[in-house]
Amino acid sequence: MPDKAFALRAGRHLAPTLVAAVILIGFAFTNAGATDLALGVNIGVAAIAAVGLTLTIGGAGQLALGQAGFMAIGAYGTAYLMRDREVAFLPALAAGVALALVIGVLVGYIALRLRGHYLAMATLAVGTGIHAFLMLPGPLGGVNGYAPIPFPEIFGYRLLDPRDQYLLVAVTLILVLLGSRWLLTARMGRELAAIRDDEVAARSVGVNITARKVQVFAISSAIGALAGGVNAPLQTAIDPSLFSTAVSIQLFVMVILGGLGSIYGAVLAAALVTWLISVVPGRGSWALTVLGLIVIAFMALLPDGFAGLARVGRSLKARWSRPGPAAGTAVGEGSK
Amino acid sequence: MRILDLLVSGLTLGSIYALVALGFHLVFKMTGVIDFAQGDKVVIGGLIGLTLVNQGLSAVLVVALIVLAAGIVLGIAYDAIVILPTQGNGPIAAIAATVGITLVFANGGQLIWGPDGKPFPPVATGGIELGEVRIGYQDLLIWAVVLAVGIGLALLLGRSRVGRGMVAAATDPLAATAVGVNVARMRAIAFALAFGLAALAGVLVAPITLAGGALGTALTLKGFTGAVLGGLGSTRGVLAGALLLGVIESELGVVMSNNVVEPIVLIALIIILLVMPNGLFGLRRQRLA
Repeated sequence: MPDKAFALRAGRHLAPTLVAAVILIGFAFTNAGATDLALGVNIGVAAIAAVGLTLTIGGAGQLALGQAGFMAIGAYGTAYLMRDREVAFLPALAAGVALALVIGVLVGYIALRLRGHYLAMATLAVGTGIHAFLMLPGPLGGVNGYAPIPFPEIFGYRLLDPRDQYLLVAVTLILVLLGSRWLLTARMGRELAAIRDDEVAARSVGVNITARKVQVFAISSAIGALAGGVNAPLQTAIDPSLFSTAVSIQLFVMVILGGLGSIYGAVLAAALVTWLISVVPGRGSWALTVLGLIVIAFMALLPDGFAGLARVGRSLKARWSRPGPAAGTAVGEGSK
Repeated sequence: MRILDLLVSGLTLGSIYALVALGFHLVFKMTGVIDFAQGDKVVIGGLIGLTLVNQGLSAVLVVALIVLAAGIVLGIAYDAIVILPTQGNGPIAAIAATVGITLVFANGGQLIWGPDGKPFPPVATGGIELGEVRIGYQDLLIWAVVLAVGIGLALLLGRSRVGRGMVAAATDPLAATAVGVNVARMRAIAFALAFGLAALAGVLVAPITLAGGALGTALTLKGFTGAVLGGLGSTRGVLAGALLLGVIESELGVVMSNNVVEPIVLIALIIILLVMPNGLFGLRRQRLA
């Protein structure tokens, strides 16, 4: 019964996103104050960018450390078109995302030739280079930033209320989650996982490695740009410090803590990291120091993040409920 | 003679990059890891030096030696805490751990010493005039340190028993163990030297750039660019590449503004990685893909 199987698969994959959607939308109607909603916007933006990065790092096993650069492309692209060219919000956002898509394709071609540490360093250079470019004095304002950006207007409705602004980010995040979930479970996701686990084997079963790598970098960059582009008009002013290398590293940490490949884990980690930075005094120094130590501990003990914890739990449970592997070997020896 | 003046400052800049790049080289040779915290170690070294100076230590040599010693101790701890536990968990784990420690260094440093760069007294004032070019004692001192470190490392790795053990452990850990080389100790020495040299660079560069602040990632990227420009696998290549990068970066200031040089160096790094991964003086062909 293919229909039933499809429905089951779709249901299983939609359920977590539906739960996330209920929580995200529900938060807007819990009488949250303007500060909470602003924090919600920041969390949502970080979560979108982190989900995009998860596709590259977790989905395809390609280390990328420059996501903040793509957020900057989306933010500055959208802001420039809205303010200086007086383009409406949605077309401006689309143009910013398209620009990041093109640059993501270029980075994808870099990733075809570099691996591991070298790719991480090259993408770090891309992100830092975009930041350095934005620091140049010029029409984009350099160090002083770019302002004022008009508030977004969707089909004639101006998003002035903090709740509306939060809802815009939340809906974007839900759409990104749906798209990423679909991408990871569709053929593309399987092929990416094959590339991540063994590139030679993937090639031997007919995976087009060139196309998949370039596509995943382009998509991940575009999602990063979406995060920046949605955020820029809500903040009304942007400056290069919002997209510094430190932000790229924070996004990387979110993906690591989220369990390398789990998009919901990335959302949770984005919420945790963003919340900690905002509530812990001293510009989050304490929080980030501790997070750095947690990352090292994770990499030493649970290299797969929280997702690894689940697997350790499952294997423990399996050991409890079933005779251990020793029984199996005994049978094997007996039959010999 | 603007070009010659820039040559002087370029060599000084390149010397600082060289100390960072040598750390990359040592760690890479021993473990195959590229340490993303290499630049942040420089900042930590500068801040430790600042604390010593604030305690009333005025003798430069003493401050530099104490910082070097502190760096060596920290390097051994670094190997034991960050690198050793994550080895064998795959490349992502090793990279993520060194990225994690950059957070600890950068933000922990801010907690202890405050977020902004602090002025650091010059290591040496005055200078000598050669024709129209003025070379500060500060520059001469930095050059001398890099020269001494370069010769010292070449002697250590090439001639001494420890150095040969390190080369053996790097080439084939299993075979090295079989002939009685303590591979773990060799790794610890490599990390100790990498951290010590970076910390020393921190003291030397602090009078020029201020101690502390958000310099770490920039230094990581520049030092790495210098290292791959010369060839990450070769000690001499790394030294030459870093010096060359410093000079080129400085001389580019003649034709364009300093702000524009930054992105150009980063683009150059990507091009070097793609086009000539063995660098100018690389020992043998190695593929990065």
